[in-house]
Amino acid sequence: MYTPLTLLVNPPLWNAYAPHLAVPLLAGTLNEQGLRVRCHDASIELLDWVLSGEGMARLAGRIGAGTDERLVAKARLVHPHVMANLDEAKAVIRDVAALQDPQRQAWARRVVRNAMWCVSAAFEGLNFDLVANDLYYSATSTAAVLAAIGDERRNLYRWGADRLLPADAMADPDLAVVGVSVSADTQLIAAMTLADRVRRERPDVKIVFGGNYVTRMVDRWTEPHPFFDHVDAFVLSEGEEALPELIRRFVAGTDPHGIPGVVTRGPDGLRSTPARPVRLDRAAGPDFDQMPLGRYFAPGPILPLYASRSCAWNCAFCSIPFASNSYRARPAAQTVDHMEAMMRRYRTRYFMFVDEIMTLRSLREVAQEIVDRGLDLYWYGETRFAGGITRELAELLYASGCRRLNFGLESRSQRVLNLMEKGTRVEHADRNLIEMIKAGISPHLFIIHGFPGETAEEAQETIAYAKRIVDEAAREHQNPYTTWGGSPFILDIHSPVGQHPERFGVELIEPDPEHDLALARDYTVRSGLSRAEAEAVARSGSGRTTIRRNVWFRTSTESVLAEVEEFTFLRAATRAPNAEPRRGALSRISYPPDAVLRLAATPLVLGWSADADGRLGALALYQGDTDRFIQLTWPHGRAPDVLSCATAAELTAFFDEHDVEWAGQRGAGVVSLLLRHGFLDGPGVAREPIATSAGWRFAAEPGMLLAGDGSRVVLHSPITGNTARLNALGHLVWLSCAEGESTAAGISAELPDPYRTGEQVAIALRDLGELGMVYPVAPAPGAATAPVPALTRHGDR
Amino acid sequence: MREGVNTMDKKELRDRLKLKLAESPLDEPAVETVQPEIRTASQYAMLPSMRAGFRLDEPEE
Repeated sequence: MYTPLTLLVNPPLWNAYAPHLAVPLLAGTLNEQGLRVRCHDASIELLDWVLSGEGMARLAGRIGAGTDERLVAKARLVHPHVMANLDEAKAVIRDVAALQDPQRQAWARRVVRNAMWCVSAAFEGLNFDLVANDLYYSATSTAAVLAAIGDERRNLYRWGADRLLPADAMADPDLAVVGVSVSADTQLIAAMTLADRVRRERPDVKIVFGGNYVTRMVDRWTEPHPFFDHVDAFVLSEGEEALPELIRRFVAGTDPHGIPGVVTRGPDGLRSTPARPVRLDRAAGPDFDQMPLGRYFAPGPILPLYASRSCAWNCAFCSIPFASNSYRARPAAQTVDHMEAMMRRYRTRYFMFVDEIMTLRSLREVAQEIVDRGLDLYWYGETRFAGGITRELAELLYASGCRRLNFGLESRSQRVLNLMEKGTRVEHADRNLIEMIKAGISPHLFIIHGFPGETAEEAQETIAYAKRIVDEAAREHQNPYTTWGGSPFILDIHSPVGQHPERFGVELIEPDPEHDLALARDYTVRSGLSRAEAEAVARSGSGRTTIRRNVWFRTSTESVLAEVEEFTFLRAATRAPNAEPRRGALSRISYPPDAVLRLAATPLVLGWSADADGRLGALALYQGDTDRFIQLTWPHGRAPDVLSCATAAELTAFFDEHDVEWAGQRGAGVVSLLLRHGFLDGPGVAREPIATSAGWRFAAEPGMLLAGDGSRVVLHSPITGNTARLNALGHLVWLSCAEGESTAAGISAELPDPYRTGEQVAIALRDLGELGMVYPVAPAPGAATAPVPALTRHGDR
Repeated sequence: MREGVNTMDKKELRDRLKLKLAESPLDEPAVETVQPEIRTASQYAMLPSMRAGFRLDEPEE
């Protein structure tokens, strides 16, 4: 019997940390209406496979297809370590218990970062990432998207096309419709790539695109777009009413024209019918049965759900109301019914509300319902500052399991908030934040840098405010999970600023005609920060660019190390320590000259010279377990075999003879450096663990980078990749070690009370040592040997 | 300050830092590791070009 099948696909690249809600919601709707449905999260399917031992093995032969020789070199250096460790690293990332071990987490995240370098180096123009990635082809150009479809060399999704569609569904003779959910531009190239494959292999199947991004993209079209060669219909706004009707008409072979929200190509041009808001009280619950819940890149799963749709406000910078119909809330009992059902069925306690904004009413009613039912779960969501947020509400939210709330602070200036037509008050922000933080809920502050009319001073004051809130939450309220994140203002064509630029003192610059799908516009302003200045504020505000990362092996694609909100929420829910950089245990290395040394790192002779006149070659080493890189000057044409089996004395002589160098270190200095960082090892090498930094003489590691960062200096280690901010004490400790071997007692003796006890100096030395910025040289005769007190690192509870 | 180079007289710098030391709270961490950035998927989804020109690291030189 013919039972038509609909295949729903979430194409890459979507956030790897949790499933998207759209496909499960539509699956729930189709199930409820007796329509046969198959779900496929092609995004996590592809990501999880590419980032696996098997995927890495398939990629190995392609590394080098990228044209960035330094990225290719990085990938070749790390590939063996990735192959050996990637599957274990992913297991760590998915293990909720591992949240309690930030060093293990840091190790795992670096393995995944390295794997992403390998993927990036295998395709020309690719910058691979877990949230959004840049391909050679731009998703803002129709011509580029269409060119990408057939290009296996530059389009990762074409290369991995097997993962985009499930073979059994594609072979099912009853397959009638493929529905593709495109929520962001990061999904467009993969969506078109898979549509092309369906078209070629199953010309009998109808293809439907829907989703937030599709809604905003298709709205711009005034005539049939070339994408109609691959897509039969586009569904705008919500799909729960349009899609089932569309499927029925496709199966019956009748005209789909006239279904609200559906856009098709007719003989005379585009045919569209305005979308209609879905009645939420009748909406089906999401069905995650076919989603691979164990494969997302976070413990959990963290399941998405909603209490309302769209947004009741009309902020000048935002296009949300445009693409999601009018604001509607649904009964809290219905929301919590779905939550409870998901808890039971999918055995999870973690939820994210994907409401654009949870109103006070939604927050209160949902929280009360959860408390009344006694559900043991955790959740987070997004709301806005309001006069009605009280201590009592904050405590109710905490009792219901809320551990994180995102707020659009946008600006600390009331004048700028008014320009944004945001409708919030700065005094409410102050009060709301303190109530949340005191109740144990960690706020996140979104900031927009450089809204038209904002001055540089106002932008800086906003950053300073956010930093102060984060700092006070951690220090004064033991709430270390409060965060902020800023982005430069992006002018979206569907936002009020985009629709009425003159009202906001803005003049739009039309994009290059080639970028016909671009929804953002460049612009000029009558007053305040320009677009370029806004981007500069964002970069400096992030605090990560104060060091010029002038070593190739530490530049770019560090973004996997960025924290994502799913992890911050989980840390808050489980009271786990915050993310940390990689630290190494303090130990003193000693070895006799006849100690036989062997290479304990991956070597790579580089294709470029280490000096301007080309006299010296270069050799890079990577120690994967401790994530340390180094580039040595190296004799041209010389294999790194000498590092594999030679005595310390022989290596010293070799290094001297061939000018092998790192940051001014030569001969024995290089041998010692390579041993300290684990690039070399050997049976005769003694590693003496150091229980206390107080009894030792320390020296600064060579090659460290130092720069100013407002009131503090910033120190960066190219070898470990660690960056630290030093206050006056840390700076004094660093200076002492950089000028000569120093002890805690010696340094503190020169300091005023109460630093003379040496306790803080010993802690600073230990911190710098664990971060690979100083190292113990030898015991200091007669120095105090009391153990260093437990570290109180910033962010620890 | 230039990278790795102390452009100020060392003694003068030390004296200045010691003065600053007196002003900073005793429990302030001397060595503070740089926390990672925070990102949210919704930022990327709703404002798809938001990431344009905003990278977490400097581009290759």
